[in-house]
Amino acid sequence: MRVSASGSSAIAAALIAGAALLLSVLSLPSVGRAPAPSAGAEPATITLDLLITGLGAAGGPATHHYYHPSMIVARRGDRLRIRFMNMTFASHGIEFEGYNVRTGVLPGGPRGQEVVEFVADRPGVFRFKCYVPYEPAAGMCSPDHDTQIGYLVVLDAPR
Amino acid sequence: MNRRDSPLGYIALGLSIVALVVSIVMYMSRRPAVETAGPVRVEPARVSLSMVVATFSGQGVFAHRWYPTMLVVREGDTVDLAIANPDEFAHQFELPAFGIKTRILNPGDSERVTFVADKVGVFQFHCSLPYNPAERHCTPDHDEMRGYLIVTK
Repeated sequence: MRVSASGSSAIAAALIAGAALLLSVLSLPSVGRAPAPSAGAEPATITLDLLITGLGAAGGPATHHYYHPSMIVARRGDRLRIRFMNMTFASHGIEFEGYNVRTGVLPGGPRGQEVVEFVADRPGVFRFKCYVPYEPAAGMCSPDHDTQIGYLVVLDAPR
Repeated sequence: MNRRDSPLGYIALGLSIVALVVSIVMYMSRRPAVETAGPVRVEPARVSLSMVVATFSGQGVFAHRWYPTMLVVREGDTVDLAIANPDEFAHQFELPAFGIKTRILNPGDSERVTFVADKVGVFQFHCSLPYNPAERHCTPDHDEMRGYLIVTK
Protein backbone atom coordinates (compact mmCIF):
# COMPACT_ATOMS: atom_id res chain seq x y z
CA MET A 1 0.00 0.00 0.00
CA ARG A 2 2.76 2.41 0.90
CA VAL A 3 4.80 1.34 -2.11
CA SER A 4 1.91 1.69 -4.56
CA ALA A 5 0.99 5.20 -3.37
CA SER A 6 4.49 6.59 -3.81
CA GLY A 7 4.89 4.54 -7.03
CA SER A 8 1.78 5.99 -8.68
CA SER A 9 2.75 9.56 -7.84
CA ALA A 10 6.26 8.88 -9.17
CA ILE A 11 4.79 7.59 -12.48
CA ALA A 12 2.58 10.67 -12.74
CA ALA A 13 5.58 12.87 -11.99
CA ALA A 14 7.60 11.09 -14.68
CA LEU A 15 4.82 11.56 -17.28
CA ILE A 16 4.39 15.25 -16.48
CA ALA A 17 8.15 15.82 -16.49
CA GLY A 18 8.33 14.07 -19.88
CA ALA A 19 5.67 16.40 -21.29
CA ALA A 20 7.54 19.39 -19.87
CA LEU A 21 10.77 18.18 -21.47
CA LEU A 22 9.04 17.78 -24.88
CA LEU A 23 7.59 21.31 -24.72
CA SER A 24 10.97 22.71 -23.66
CA VAL A 25 12.69 21.11 -26.66
CA LEU A 26 9.95 22.40 -29.01
CA SER A 27 10.48 25.91 -27.60
CA LEU A 28 14.12 25.97 -28.75
CA PRO A 29 14.40 28.47 -31.63
CA SER A 30 16.16 26.19 -34.11
CA VAL A 31 14.02 23.04 -33.93
CA GLY A 32 12.11 22.33 -37.15
CA ARG A 33 12.93 25.74 -38.57
CA ALA A 34 16.22 25.35 -40.42
CA PRO A 35 16.28 27.94 -43.27
CA ALA A 36 15.64 26.42 -46.69
CA PRO A 37 18.68 26.56 -48.98
CA SER A 38 18.12 29.05 -51.79
CA ALA A 39 19.33 28.98 -55.38
CA GLY A 40 21.22 32.25 -55.11
CA ALA A 41 23.27 31.27 -52.09
CA GLU A 42 26.52 30.83 -53.99
CA PRO A 43 28.86 33.83 -54.09
CA ALA A 44 28.82 35.52 -57.50
CA THR A 45 31.52 37.22 -59.51
CA ILE A 46 30.58 40.71 -60.63
CA THR A 47 32.67 41.79 -63.62
CA LEU A 48 32.27 45.43 -64.54
CA ASP A 49 33.96 48.31 -66.27
CA LEU A 50 34.06 51.46 -64.22
CA LEU A 51 34.38 54.50 -66.44
CA ILE A 52 35.98 57.69 -65.21
CA THR A 53 34.36 60.30 -67.40
CA GLY A 54 33.22 63.89 -67.34
CA LEU A 55 30.82 66.45 -68.69
CA GLY A 56 31.18 70.12 -69.52
CA ALA A 57 29.39 72.84 -71.44
CA ALA A 58 28.77 71.98 -75.10
CA GLY A 59 32.08 72.11 -76.97
CA GLY A 60 34.03 72.97 -73.83
CA PRO A 61 36.28 70.94 -71.58
CA ALA A 62 34.81 68.61 -68.96
CA THR A 63 34.30 70.45 -65.70
CA HIS A 64 32.36 67.81 -63.77
CA HIS A 65 33.68 64.31 -63.49
CA TYR A 66 31.79 61.19 -62.50
CA TYR A 67 31.93 57.42 -62.59
CA HIS A 68 29.79 55.02 -64.54
CA PRO A 69 28.42 53.25 -62.66
CA SER A 70 28.64 55.55 -59.66
CA MET A 71 27.28 52.86 -57.35
CA ILE A 72 28.39 49.24 -57.19
CA VAL A 73 26.25 46.81 -55.22
CA ALA A 74 27.32 43.36 -54.11
CA ARG A 75 26.37 40.84 -51.47
CA ARG A 76 28.82 39.97 -48.73
CA GLY A 77 31.15 37.32 -50.13
CA ASP A 78 30.71 38.19 -53.81
CA ARG A 79 33.87 38.71 -55.85
CA LEU A 80 34.34 42.01 -57.66
CA ARG A 81 36.45 42.28 -60.78
CA ILE A 82 36.44 45.92 -61.80
CA ARG A 83 38.27 47.45 -64.71
CA PHE A 84 38.81 51.19 -64.33
CA MET A 85 38.97 53.14 -67.58
CA ASN A 86 40.09 56.75 -67.47
CA MET A 87 38.39 58.61 -70.32
CA THR A 88 39.28 62.08 -69.08
CA PHE A 89 42.04 64.54 -69.96
CA ALA A 90 43.84 64.34 -66.61
CA SER A 91 45.32 61.47 -64.62
CA HIS A 92 43.33 59.86 -61.81
CA GLY A 93 43.86 57.09 -59.29
CA ILE A 94 40.99 55.42 -57.47
CA GLU A 95 40.84 53.85 -54.02
CA PHE A 96 38.11 51.93 -52.20
CA GLU A 97 37.90 53.17 -48.63
CA GLY A 98 37.62 50.40 -46.09
CA TYR A 99 39.02 47.76 -48.43
CA ASN A 100 42.65 48.79 -48.89
CA VAL A 101 42.20 48.47 -52.67
CA ARG A 102 43.52 51.07 -55.09
CA THR A 103 44.63 51.46 -58.67
CA GLY A 104 47.85 53.07 -59.80
CA VAL A 105 47.79 56.55 -61.29
CA LEU A 106 45.91 56.13 -64.57
CA PRO A 107 46.58 58.52 -67.47
CA GLY A 108 43.65 59.49 -69.68
CA GLY A 109 43.09 57.32 -72.76
CA PRO A 110 43.53 53.67 -73.75
CA ARG A 111 46.62 53.23 -71.53
CA GLY A 112 44.75 54.40 -68.46
CA GLN A 113 43.10 51.09 -67.60
CA GLU A 114 43.57 48.76 -64.68
CA VAL A 115 41.69 45.77 -63.27
CA VAL A 116 41.27 45.41 -59.52
CA GLU A 117 39.86 42.22 -58.02
CA PHE A 118 38.76 41.57 -54.47
CA VAL A 119 36.13 39.81 -52.38
CA ALA A 120 33.49 42.07 -50.83
CA ASP A 121 33.83 40.47 -47.41
CA ARG A 122 32.92 43.53 -45.31
CA PRO A 123 29.30 44.66 -45.32
CA GLY A 124 28.60 48.37 -45.37
CA VAL A 125 28.67 51.48 -47.52
CA PHE A 126 32.14 52.46 -48.73
CA ARG A 127 33.29 55.36 -50.85
CA PHE A 128 35.52 54.98 -53.86
CA LYS A 129 37.23 58.16 -54.91
CA CYS A 130 40.21 59.73 -56.61
CA TYR A 131 43.28 59.87 -54.35
CA VAL A 132 45.43 61.96 -56.73
CA PRO A 133 45.38 65.62 -55.59
CA TYR A 134 44.58 68.31 -58.12
CA GLU A 135 47.82 69.58 -59.64
CA PRO A 136 47.20 71.33 -62.97
CA ALA A 137 50.87 71.75 -63.92
CA ALA A 138 51.36 67.98 -63.75
CA GLY A 139 48.04 67.11 -65.43
CA MET A 140 46.90 65.45 -62.22
CA CYS A 141 43.17 65.25 -61.51
CA SER A 142 40.86 68.23 -61.95
CA PRO A 143 39.40 71.12 -59.92
CA ASP A 144 36.40 69.05 -58.87
CA HIS A 145 38.66 66.43 -57.22
CA ASP A 146 36.76 66.54 -53.91
CA THR A 147 33.48 65.46 -55.46
CA GLN A 148 34.79 62.58 -57.57
CA ILE A 149 33.13 60.04 -55.32
CA GLY A 150 31.25 56.83 -55.94
CA TYR A 151 29.86 54.21 -53.58
CA LEU A 152 30.30 50.51 -53.04
CA VAL A 153 27.35 49.00 -51.14
CA VAL A 154 27.94 45.52 -49.70
CA LEU A 155 24.70 43.95 -48.56
CA ASP A 156 24.62 41.64 -45.57
CA ALA A 157 21.17 40.36 -46.57
CA PRO A 158 20.28 36.67 -46.04
CA ARG A 159 20.59 34.62 -49.21
CA MET B 1 -0.20 7.52 7.70
CA ASN B 2 1.06 5.89 4.51
CA ARG B 3 1.23 9.21 2.68
CA ARG B 4 3.12 10.93 5.47
CA ASP B 5 5.73 8.16 5.23
CA SER B 6 6.52 8.70 1.51
CA PRO B 7 6.87 12.43 0.75
CA LEU B 8 9.45 11.95 -2.05
CA GLY B 9 6.91 11.02 -4.73
CA TYR B 10 4.78 14.06 -3.93
CA ILE B 11 7.78 16.38 -4.03
CA ALA B 12 8.64 14.97 -7.47
CA LEU B 13 5.02 15.41 -8.58
CA GLY B 14 4.99 19.02 -7.41
CA LEU B 15 8.30 19.82 -9.10
CA SER B 16 7.21 18.25 -12.40
CA ILE B 17 3.95 20.24 -12.37
CA VAL B 18 6.00 23.44 -11.89
CA ALA B 19 8.26 22.35 -14.77
CA LEU B 20 5.20 21.71 -16.96
CA VAL B 21 3.75 25.15 -16.24
CA VAL B 22 7.10 26.83 -17.02
CA SER B 23 7.38 24.80 -20.26
CA ILE B 24 3.83 25.77 -21.35
CA VAL B 25 4.61 29.45 -20.75
CA MET B 26 7.88 29.16 -22.73
CA TYR B 27 6.17 27.28 -25.58
CA MET B 28 3.33 29.80 -25.86
CA SER B 29 5.70 32.78 -25.84
CA ARG B 30 8.22 31.48 -28.42
CA ARG B 31 8.77 33.90 -31.30
CA PRO B 32 7.20 33.13 -34.70
CA ALA B 33 9.54 31.71 -37.35
CA VAL B 34 9.13 34.70 -39.70
CA GLU B 35 10.46 37.16 -37.15
CA THR B 36 13.47 35.09 -36.21
CA ALA B 37 14.33 34.36 -39.88
CA GLY B 38 14.99 37.93 -40.94
CA PRO B 39 13.63 41.43 -41.41
CA VAL B 40 9.94 42.18 -41.46
CA ARG B 41 8.25 41.19 -44.70
CA VAL B 42 7.40 44.06 -46.98
CA GLU B 43 4.78 44.16 -49.69
CA PRO B 44 6.22 43.38 -53.14
CA ALA B 45 7.09 46.52 -55.11
CA ARG B 46 6.82 47.33 -58.77
CA VAL B 47 10.15 48.67 -60.01
CA SER B 48 9.60 50.59 -63.25
CA LEU B 49 12.69 52.00 -64.91
CA SER B 50 14.16 53.09 -68.19
CA MET B 51 17.08 50.94 -69.31
CA VAL B 52 19.02 52.61 -72.07
CA VAL B 53 22.18 52.18 -74.09
CA ALA B 54 24.39 55.01 -72.87
CA THR B 55 27.41 56.11 -74.89
CA PHE B 56 30.58 57.57 -73.43
CA SER B 57 33.67 58.90 -75.19
CA GLY B 58 36.85 60.67 -74.24
CA GLN B 59 40.59 60.60 -74.95
CA GLY B 60 40.06 58.21 -77.85
CA VAL B 61 38.07 55.69 -75.77
CA PHE B 62 34.50 54.82 -76.74
CA ALA B 63 32.17 52.92 -74.45
CA HIS B 64 28.59 51.65 -74.80
CA ARG B 65 26.98 50.54 -71.56
CA TRP B 66 23.58 49.71 -70.13
CA TYR B 67 22.34 52.50 -67.90
CA PRO B 68 21.63 51.81 -65.09
CA THR B 69 24.26 49.12 -64.70
CA MET B 70 23.16 47.78 -61.31
CA LEU B 71 19.56 47.00 -60.37
CA VAL B 72 18.70 45.92 -56.84
CA VAL B 73 15.25 44.54 -55.96
CA ARG B 74 13.74 42.19 -53.41
CA GLU B 75 12.54 38.69 -54.10
CA GLY B 76 8.96 38.90 -55.35
CA ASP B 77 9.20 42.42 -56.73
CA THR B 78 7.93 43.04 -60.25
CA VAL B 79 10.55 44.52 -62.55
CA ASP B 80 9.23 46.61 -65.43
CA LEU B 81 11.90 47.86 -67.82
CA ALA B 82 11.46 50.25 -70.73
CA ILE B 83 14.50 49.25 -72.74
CA ALA B 84 15.57 51.82 -75.31
CA ASN B 85 18.40 52.17 -77.78
CA PRO B 86 19.26 55.79 -78.62
CA ASP B 87 22.64 54.68 -80.04
CA GLU B 88 23.42 54.75 -83.77
CA PHE B 89 24.09 50.99 -83.80
CA ALA B 90 21.66 48.13 -83.10
CA HIS B 91 21.71 46.36 -79.71
CA GLN B 92 19.69 43.66 -77.95
CA PHE B 93 19.01 43.28 -74.23
CA GLU B 94 19.11 39.84 -72.63
CA LEU B 95 18.67 38.69 -69.02
CA PRO B 96 18.99 34.90 -69.40
CA ALA B 97 18.18 33.90 -65.80
CA PHE B 98 14.64 35.22 -66.20
CA GLY B 99 14.17 34.32 -69.87
CA ILE B 100 14.15 37.95 -70.93
CA LYS B 101 15.34 38.88 -74.43
CA THR B 102 14.18 41.80 -76.51
CA ARG B 103 14.03 41.79 -80.28
CA ILE B 104 16.93 43.49 -82.06
CA LEU B 105 16.65 47.12 -81.07
CA ASN B 106 17.61 49.30 -84.03
CA PRO B 107 18.55 52.94 -83.42
CA GLY B 108 15.54 54.63 -81.82
CA ASP B 109 13.72 51.37 -80.96
CA SER B 110 12.43 50.45 -77.54
CA GLU B 111 10.69 47.50 -75.93
CA ARG B 112 9.02 47.02 -72.58
CA VAL B 113 9.63 43.86 -70.55
CA THR B 114 8.02 42.82 -67.28
CA PHE B 115 8.87 39.93 -65.00
CA VAL B 116 8.72 38.90 -61.36
CA ALA B 117 12.10 38.58 -59.64
CA ASP B 118 11.18 35.25 -58.07
CA LYS B 119 14.67 33.98 -57.24
CA VAL B 120 17.46 35.34 -55.10
CA GLY B 121 20.92 35.92 -56.50
CA VAL B 122 23.16 37.99 -58.74
CA PHE B 123 22.12 37.81 -62.39
CA GLN B 124 23.99 39.27 -65.34
CA PHE B 125 22.30 41.07 -68.22
CA HIS B 126 24.11 41.93 -71.42
CA CYS B 127 23.86 42.72 -75.11
CA SER B 128 23.15 39.54 -77.07
CA LEU B 129 23.70 40.97 -80.56
CA PRO B 130 27.28 40.17 -81.65
CA TYR B 131 29.46 42.90 -83.10
CA ASN B 132 29.02 43.00 -86.87
CA PRO B 133 30.13 46.29 -88.45
CA ALA B 134 28.69 45.40 -91.88
CA GLU B 135 25.20 45.16 -90.40
CA ARG B 136 25.80 48.04 -87.95
CA HIS B 137 25.17 45.52 -85.16
CA CYS B 138 26.62 46.54 -81.80
CA THR B 139 30.11 47.93 -81.28
CA PRO B 140 33.67 46.64 -80.69
CA ASP B 141 33.12 46.75 -76.93
CA HIS B 142 30.17 44.33 -77.22
CA ASP B 143 31.52 42.01 -74.50
CA GLU B 144 31.64 44.86 -71.97
CA MET B 145 27.96 45.76 -72.39
CA ARG B 146 26.87 44.07 -69.22
CA GLY B 147 25.22 44.83 -65.94
CA TYR B 148 23.75 43.02 -62.95
CA LEU B 149 20.38 42.48 -61.35
CA ILE B 150 20.74 41.70 -57.65
CA VAL B 151 17.71 40.08 -56.02
CA THR B 152 17.74 39.96 -52.22
CA LYS B 153 15.38 38.34 -49.74
